[in-house]
Amino acid sequence: MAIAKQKRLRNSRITPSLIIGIVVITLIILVGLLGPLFINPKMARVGAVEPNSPPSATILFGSDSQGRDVFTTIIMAIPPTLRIGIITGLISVLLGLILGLMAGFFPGWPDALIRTFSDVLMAVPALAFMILVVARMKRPNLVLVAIIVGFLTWPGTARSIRSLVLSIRERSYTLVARANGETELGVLFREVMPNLLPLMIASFIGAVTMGIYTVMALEVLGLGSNVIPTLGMMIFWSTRFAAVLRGMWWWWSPPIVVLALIFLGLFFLSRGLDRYISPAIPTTWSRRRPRGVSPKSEPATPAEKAPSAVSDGTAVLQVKNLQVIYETPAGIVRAVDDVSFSLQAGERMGVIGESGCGKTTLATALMRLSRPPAYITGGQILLEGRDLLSISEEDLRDLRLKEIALIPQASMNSLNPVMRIGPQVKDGLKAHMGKLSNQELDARVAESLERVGLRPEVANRYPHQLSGGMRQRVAMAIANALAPKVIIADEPTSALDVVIQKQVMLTLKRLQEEEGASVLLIGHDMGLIAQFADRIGVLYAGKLVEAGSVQEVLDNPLHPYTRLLIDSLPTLEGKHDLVGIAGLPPELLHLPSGCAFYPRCPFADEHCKGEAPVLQVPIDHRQVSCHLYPEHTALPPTPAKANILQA
Amino acid sequence: MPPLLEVKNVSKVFRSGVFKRGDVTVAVDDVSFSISDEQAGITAIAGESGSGKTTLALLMIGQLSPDSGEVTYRGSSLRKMTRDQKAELRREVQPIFQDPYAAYNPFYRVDHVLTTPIRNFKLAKSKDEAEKMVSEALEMVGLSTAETLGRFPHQLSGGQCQRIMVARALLCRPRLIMADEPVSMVDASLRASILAGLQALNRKLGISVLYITHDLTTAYQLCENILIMYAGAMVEAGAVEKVIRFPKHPYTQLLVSSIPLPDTHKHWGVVEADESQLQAGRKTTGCRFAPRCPVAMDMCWNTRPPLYGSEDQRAVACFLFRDSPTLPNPDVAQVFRKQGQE
Repeated sequence: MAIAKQKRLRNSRITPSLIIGIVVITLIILVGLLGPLFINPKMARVGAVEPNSPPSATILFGSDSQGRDVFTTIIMAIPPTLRIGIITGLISVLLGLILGLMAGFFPGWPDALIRTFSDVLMAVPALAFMILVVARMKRPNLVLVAIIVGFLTWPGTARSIRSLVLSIRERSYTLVARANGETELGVLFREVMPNLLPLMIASFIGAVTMGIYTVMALEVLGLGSNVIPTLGMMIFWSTRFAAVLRGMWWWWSPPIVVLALIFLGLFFLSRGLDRYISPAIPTTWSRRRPRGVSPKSEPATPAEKAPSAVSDGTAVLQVKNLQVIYETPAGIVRAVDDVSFSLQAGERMGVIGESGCGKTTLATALMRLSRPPAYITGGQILLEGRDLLSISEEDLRDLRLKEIALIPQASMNSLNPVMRIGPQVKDGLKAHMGKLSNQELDARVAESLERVGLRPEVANRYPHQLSGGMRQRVAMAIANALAPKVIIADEPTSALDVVIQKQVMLTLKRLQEEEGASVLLIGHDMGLIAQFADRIGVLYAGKLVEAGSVQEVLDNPLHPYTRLLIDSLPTLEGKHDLVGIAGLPPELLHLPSGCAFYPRCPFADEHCKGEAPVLQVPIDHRQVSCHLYPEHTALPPTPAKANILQA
Repeated sequence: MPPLLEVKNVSKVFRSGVFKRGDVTVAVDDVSFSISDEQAGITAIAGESGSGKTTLALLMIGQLSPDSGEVTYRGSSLRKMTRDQKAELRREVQPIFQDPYAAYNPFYRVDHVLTTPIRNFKLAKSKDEAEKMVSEALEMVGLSTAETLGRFPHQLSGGQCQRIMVARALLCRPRLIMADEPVSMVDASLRASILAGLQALNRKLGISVLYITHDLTTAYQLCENILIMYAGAMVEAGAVEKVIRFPKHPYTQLLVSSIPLPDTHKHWGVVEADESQLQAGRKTTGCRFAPRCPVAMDMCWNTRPPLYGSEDQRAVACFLFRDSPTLPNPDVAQVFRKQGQE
């Protein structure tokens, strides 16, 4: 399976863009190289054939009003046009590369000098400048024009290369290369240069286009050379002799079609090569809805199947059979799969899961904030009995923040950097209590800030003037400003140091206790959840595999995954061997059959491989999704010689 | 025999702004310690972000040069080393970085990082020998060649990428592996395997490990000795059982009490810290922790506390322990617990 997957990924580097680009450009170059061998150049001279003839068997593309054969002229015009493009491209990219590398590697005066010079050059309007230059020439020399255009366009390339070099030098792979014994030149040629390749190709193609375009523009304006036929000159002649007015489409259209083909071919080539060279760039996500899945289709399992062990009358938030999918080019990913749980009034619940298990997808879906390619495809989210998934967008806006609020991941970085704190807190208040006067609103802002342990003066500060912990408190103040019944906190402290993390979490706890709100804390840190929450849900591969009180789950886990996870956590209780969980976290796109955990599970048997377990209640107040139950009432000791099934 | 690596009173200052006249950040402030070549141990450098732990590591491998003080490698100063010595240092001290993906050039398959050291350090005589070395190194960290070679880094999990990095370091036949937050970006269920890999290298091959981290629980499990840094200065050092189980410095105590333990019987406490006593904004020329210290005394604000050898296997930079003798020389490694010592 792994090999097949690898093959597919490798093949996917060759995109339709690349094929179209290569075919078109190769054809044009072949015609340019070989075409002149098959034609008679005399046919391109004035008066070579009958003027004004439409296309016919003898005069293939017809002729212009001067008696030139259009077919012959086109074939002869392609090589000089391409030559101009290539000269511009080469000069621009070579200059850009050398100067960009110098600026990136020598940050002192060479960098300042090159940047100042390129700033000045970039301010020069290329076309206007070229018109001045060409108008002063006795005989227009297109090669010279191409060279000058090359000199004018390098600053763009140089700047991109400089910033890329600066960012690559920061990456740890250059440090790794040095540790691997590479010299500075080795780092430049083997680590930095390959990563510049996509940019250089894009720049080259851009400069080629620019060169052809500038020369063509000059020619169309009448500043071309009458001696060499180029595509631009053909357009110039056809407009000069009013080919469009005279209905001589065979005269004006071929050069335009060929130029369009060159530009399109270059565009596709650039796109395709980019994807080919950088295998890590994902292909564009499809926005197309898959057939058979509507945003509100039936839940995969009937709602009755949801265990109702804890769904008594006091639940503020009840999630039933929630399903969220992602549409990816490679298929549909079930990121949240049939998840059911409920949150009691005033309860703190933690949801733990590893990266990619659907944690954040769940948090976003609970606010009904999922955006394509994520879709909520089934289930119910009942906030005090009202289904958030079936009410109107307007009603929902009214509920958000007032009834249910989200402290998003890295929320301390979600503040607007150019706005003071006060207005940002006020924004949410205004939307819901617009009737209040400005003073009243300000008082509310001050109050919200004080509740999270910040001084009211913080309202006048900008985010960058606050520490990470303070910004995190501001995000909490915003979420809590309207005293919502449910607060969803998605890894609220993941970027904070441990001391600050404790303070922020204790503040959140105090707030929650004062207001009687319910908090759903989503995270990957078992310790944090153990310290904060009363109840815990364990998420694995998009499914809730275990739920119960934090103490019971920690002391007595029911699901094998939960036990192995707890055992792998380092503690301060004496030293013991570090044991991780065998195998790899599942990829949601390639889930194993049956139970998603069976390839890593020491208890797994053929049953687990064949059939996915459902959430059940083997003991009071505990839920688990595992085939060991209801046969057992507790998780048996882990088999010493675990016979892990192969996927 | 001189130590493998030694830093003597090193300081590093970063200046920002035009002509470097802006803010001054003291990243590392007068730190001394050494890593022995005879005693292969696992030592942690712990602290919060901005404590200078990564800067100290970069100073030690010569990726940064100190503003004052000296770094020596096998007795010779990094400033005056010959080309050959520099190359030897590069090979003997191998870094592992935090972000498992950023350590790979996206242009190459993962094989690239494994074949480069063999080529550059001329470690193998033939292609077969090179292949054998690679597969042995991968096995050592619990990976097989079939599941790793020929892939691009983005096709592997973060845990696999990080273990390949450990294998890469191993290929260079190092004396010291300097692992900078090697598991902080890796999922909990995979962390233990990476750390166990580092432990195996130490135990089976006698390679020293310097484990740079903000996570005291993994440091406790993995290491014998620990250095705690705060704002560039060393505040406490010694045997990990002493420093983490019974912290003496007020900062270490704060740090240890903030660890969220996955244990409902060991509660954080429900009271938010009372910070009203703290003089948070006050400038200090003495102990850097004074503005956050609940027990700061007058002397703390204008005198730097030296390292006191408060007891066996511990040094602490705090005036609370001024009755204890100061360390005879600044190298804190002298208080470290040696192998086989209780």
